[in-house]
Amino acid sequence: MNEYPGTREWTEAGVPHLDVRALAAPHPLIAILRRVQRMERDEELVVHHHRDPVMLYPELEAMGWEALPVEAPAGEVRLRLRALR
Amino acid sequence: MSTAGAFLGGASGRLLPASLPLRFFGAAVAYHLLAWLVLAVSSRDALPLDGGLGPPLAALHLLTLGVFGMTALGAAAQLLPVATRQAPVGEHALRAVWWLYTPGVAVLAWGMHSARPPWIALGAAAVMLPLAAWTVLVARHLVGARGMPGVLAHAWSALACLVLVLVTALLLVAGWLGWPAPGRQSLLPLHLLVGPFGFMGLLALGLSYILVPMFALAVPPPERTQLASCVLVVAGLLLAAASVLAPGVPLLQPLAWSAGSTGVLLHLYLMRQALATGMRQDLGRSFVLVKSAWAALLLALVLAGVLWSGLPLPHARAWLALALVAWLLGMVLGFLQRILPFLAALHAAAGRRRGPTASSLTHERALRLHIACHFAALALLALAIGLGSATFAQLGAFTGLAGACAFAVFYLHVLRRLRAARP
Repeated sequence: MNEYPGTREWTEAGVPHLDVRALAAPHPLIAILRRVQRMERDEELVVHHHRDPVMLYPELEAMGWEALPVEAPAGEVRLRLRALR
Repeated sequence: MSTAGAFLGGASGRLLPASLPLRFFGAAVAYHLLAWLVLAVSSRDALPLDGGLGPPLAALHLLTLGVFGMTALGAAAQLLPVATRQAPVGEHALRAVWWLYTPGVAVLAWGMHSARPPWIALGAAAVMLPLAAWTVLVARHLVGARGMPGVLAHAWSALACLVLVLVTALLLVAGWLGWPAPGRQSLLPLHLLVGPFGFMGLLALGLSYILVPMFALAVPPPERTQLASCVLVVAGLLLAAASVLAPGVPLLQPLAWSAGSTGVLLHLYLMRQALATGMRQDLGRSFVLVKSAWAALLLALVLAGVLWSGLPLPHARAWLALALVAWLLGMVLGFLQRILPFLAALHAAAGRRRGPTASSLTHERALRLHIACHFAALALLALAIGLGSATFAQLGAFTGLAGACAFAVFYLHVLRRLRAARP
């Protein structure tokens, strides 16, 4: 699976999840972008982050992807990543 | 744009107010201009830098304290909280540091320029006090730090060197005032060792482990290798300091040079790996400056080795000084080219899901002119040293001044764009 060290990955309802909360900066950004790079355009990914990665969005956009906020428990930011349609 | 952003952006709670880092960077931009100006108007009659009072010493301190120091204070204050996963500390204290330090540099430089020890003493006090306060602030912050042991080791070592910079500077000023102080023959080499190589060098090496992977979208180098490089560089500095204090002891200098050079080579290897494996391969003009800075660092090490070995190389000290300036100036300006628009984009995006990209806030034409002038200025200064020509020195200084003006245009453009883009 070529997992990024320090991340956790699992699948829920057929959608892969990536937890980067244990990582120190700038690892979360790299881990997310590397994971997205390996994905097919019809795939989605749910990311679990400890903060709102505001500047991840332009990077994703440049790759043709977007991030949509998903409801998450307090102290966590959860995003659903999918290819721009 | 700025991947970098994701790093800081992912930590918006750890961001200082924009005005705080930007005022440090702004002062650095202004002092960059002033340093070249002082050199330009005085280089005809004051080229050989012998460490004595006068315009060259003033220009040198405008660069070291005004450009390198100012950038280091601002960058470390903003980057360390993010790297160590803590809230920024001492916002008011940082403001006070800036208000005292900024005019202090000007007063000190004026005192050196006009060879007036009382002004030097006043400026030195106004510079040392905020530097000491900044040291305490950063040390307090580092005590509670989590993660990034490589960066932390560099930061602690840089702080220790800063304390030594302050102590040696204090004693040098005491000497100028005619007060009892140890001889300049040991104080000056120590000051020159722990200033550029110790404080600035270690901080540049440490912050590179954050900035380079961030900009290149690369996995940061292994912590153990970062630590190994840090240990080697610190060992080199300690051995070099020992060789100054105990000049009769054999092997200290070769050992110092070997340890320091190995540490630097290891660091450069890690940087090369980060760049080679990063997701972003085209890093633009800023990394041309950064790479030139690394080349200048290697050259500085070679020249230091030549000086210590006693090989007869004409103007070796002047070459070494130029290589050090090329290293630190290339590093600082290269990183600032990236940090400024990225920081502005980050603040402009506050409260919005999508803000302006860093590339939309930059000023490509000004940066293109700056880099051309930067390299031309260094080349002309090298010619001036080689030929012993004051004309080339002055030409180089004026070219550097033109580049500094272009960089100032870039800075003001970023500020204007930030103001316009803010929600």
